Amino acid sequence: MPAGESMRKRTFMLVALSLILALALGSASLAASKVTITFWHAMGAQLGATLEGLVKDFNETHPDIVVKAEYQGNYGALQQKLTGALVAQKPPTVSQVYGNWAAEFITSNALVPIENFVNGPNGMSKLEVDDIYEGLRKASMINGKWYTMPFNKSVYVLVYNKTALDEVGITTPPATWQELLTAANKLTKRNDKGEFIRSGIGLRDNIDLFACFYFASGGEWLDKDGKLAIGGATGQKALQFMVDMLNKYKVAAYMSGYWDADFGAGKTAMYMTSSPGLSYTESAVAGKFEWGVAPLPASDLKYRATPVAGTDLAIYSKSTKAEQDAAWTFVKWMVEPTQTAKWAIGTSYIPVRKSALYLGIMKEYFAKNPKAEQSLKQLNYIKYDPNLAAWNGIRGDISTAVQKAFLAKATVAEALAEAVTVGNKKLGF
Amino acid sequence: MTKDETRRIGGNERLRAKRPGKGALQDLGAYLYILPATAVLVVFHFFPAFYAAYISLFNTNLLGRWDFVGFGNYVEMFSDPDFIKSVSNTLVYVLGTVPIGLAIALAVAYLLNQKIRASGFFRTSYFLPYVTPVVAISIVWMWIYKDDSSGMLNSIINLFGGSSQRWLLDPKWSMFALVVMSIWRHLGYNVIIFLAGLQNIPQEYYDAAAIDGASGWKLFSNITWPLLSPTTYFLTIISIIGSFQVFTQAYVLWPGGGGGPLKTTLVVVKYLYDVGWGEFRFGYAAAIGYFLFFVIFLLTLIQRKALGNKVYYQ
Repeated sequence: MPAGESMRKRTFMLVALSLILALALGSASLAASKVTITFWHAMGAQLGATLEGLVKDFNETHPDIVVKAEYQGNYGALQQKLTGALVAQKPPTVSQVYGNWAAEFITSNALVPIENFVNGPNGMSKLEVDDIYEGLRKASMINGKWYTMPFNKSVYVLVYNKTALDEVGITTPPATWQELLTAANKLTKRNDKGEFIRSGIGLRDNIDLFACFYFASGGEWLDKDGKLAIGGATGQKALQFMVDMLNKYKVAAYMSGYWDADFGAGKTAMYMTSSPGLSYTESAVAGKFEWGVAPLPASDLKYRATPVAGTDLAIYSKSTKAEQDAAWTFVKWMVEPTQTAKWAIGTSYIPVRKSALYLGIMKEYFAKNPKAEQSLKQLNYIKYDPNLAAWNGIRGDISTAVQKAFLAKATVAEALAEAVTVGNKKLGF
Repeated sequence: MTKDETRRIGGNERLRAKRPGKGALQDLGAYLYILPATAVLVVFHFFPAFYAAYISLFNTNLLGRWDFVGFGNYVEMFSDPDFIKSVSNTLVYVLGTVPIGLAIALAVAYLLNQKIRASGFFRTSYFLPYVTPVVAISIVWMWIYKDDSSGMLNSIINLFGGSSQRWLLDPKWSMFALVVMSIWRHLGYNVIIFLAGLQNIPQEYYDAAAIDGASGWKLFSNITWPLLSPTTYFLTIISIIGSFQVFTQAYVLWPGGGGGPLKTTLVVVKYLYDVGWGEFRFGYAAAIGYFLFFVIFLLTLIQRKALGNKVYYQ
């Protein structure tokens, strides 16, 4: 190699190196003024796109904070990664959590209670706190402490085939059980063998559907001692009503999966689903008929209620004080009326703040999508599952009770009594 | 290259005293070669296995709760009705899938081993389910099993005048539905292994037997079956182990959780998953895992004793 070329090469390398160094230093000094936090979530597809959009907005309006939103897969994957990361002492700064996960995470003080921030210097006023639906706030409490911020929450609604309802002369969707039964009866169509061409209502053989009836007849999962309360008159009445629709009046069908496809195919005239499920309904119906959404019918209007499901945002204590404060700024911003409204519009989840309903964008959205407004009518009547690790097993036991009653393997009272015995044992009684 | 070979190449017949330094160095090379694979095994298999044994002695959520309970988890299992149900469900599943699954696979392999047209096409078709993700398969089978007359299985039954059954909702049928789907899914794998076994049997045996006048069933029972026994033995063990560990199908076919109608398809691994990730009882889940391990281990030992000496290796 000629000496000149070698020299030139060396000079070039030097220049390149110093450039790289300068760049590295520059970005380091730039990064020093910024706090970077990681946000683990389980929102895929459309939900994920809406979430990424909000995070982008946040990063643009908060130059001193960088939120890195990281999709972890479905809820199961998120739970596994969070647990693994906590054991390895490397949790994210913020993540979505279910209440029963949070109840376990706090056994190692992994979470900073959200109430510490709410009452802190950059906190929320009483007015702002009260603006978050009380039912959602209560569902985020563990042992009397407010640990997590309600985030993506959904409620159950009644979906009905409006075209079919019009045909049988029903103008308003059923609001009480009596009306539900009447409507289901009129809507049921059979072939000459007595098989359903269209069932009046589609049920599922699990705890979630039972909750839709049990809550809406005044029931609560636990009594004041923390024991299962489903075995009493209210629980029996709710389950008996479901069983009667199936086996006595024969106006209902059930499956263990989801009803949207069958509803779209006209095989059932009504069913109950959680609000984000409505996008599936939309694509299953695909304009074949008109459909609508109504609050869950109650045994009596004074018992109107709906189960609430979904996750909260949690802030992890492993992170530095600066990171936690940045995380709180992010969490607080995410549930501000404008953001929670945008979130609700993009995903069919419910806005967690009452005032979001009065925003222009929300009113515009309701005008275009009157269905969405129906789920929100119920937000003052939400009921929720207890944040107990044992609850998952009890869910299975209550589902079994529902199946036993549906299959007529036991009376309603026997099926529920068995679930209560097994469940209370899991609760430590 | 082994040391023996080195000596031979050197042409030195005399046994040399092993020079300590050099020998160790040669061994080091060997250790280095197996290091990557060993490291993966140790980190991702051995360590988790031993760690699971350790946590099975605790009542723990792996986070803040670590209560030592000794063998308490193992004792608790036997008074846990859901666990006992999951074990009996799994036994039914194993008994339902393994013998019938292998018999069908052998029959299909036997047919595919004949000189038929487009055998390549059939071999591929039978193998397809095995390489398709279980979740996708399960969703297809949910449509097959749909409980009204729109379900494929029901519409076939209706065609012959039978009445629709609720395959996934009726506790009488749910395990049957799971077993049939699993047999179908594993058929391709079993067929391929059987086919390899069949093709390993030299043609001369058949020719000789044919000269002696043997045909049909006699050929099968006196030549094919005994010479296929290593394959059959291998598949039996592999299928039993696999069947005891069934999970995904049961998890996807019954999305409501709980484990099928009246917990009829609650299998052991599904229950392990439920108590572990559903209830954060990782110690108990690990103990269930070890219980399953010991059951499979014992069964494999028994099979070795009972069947191993009946296996005919050429």
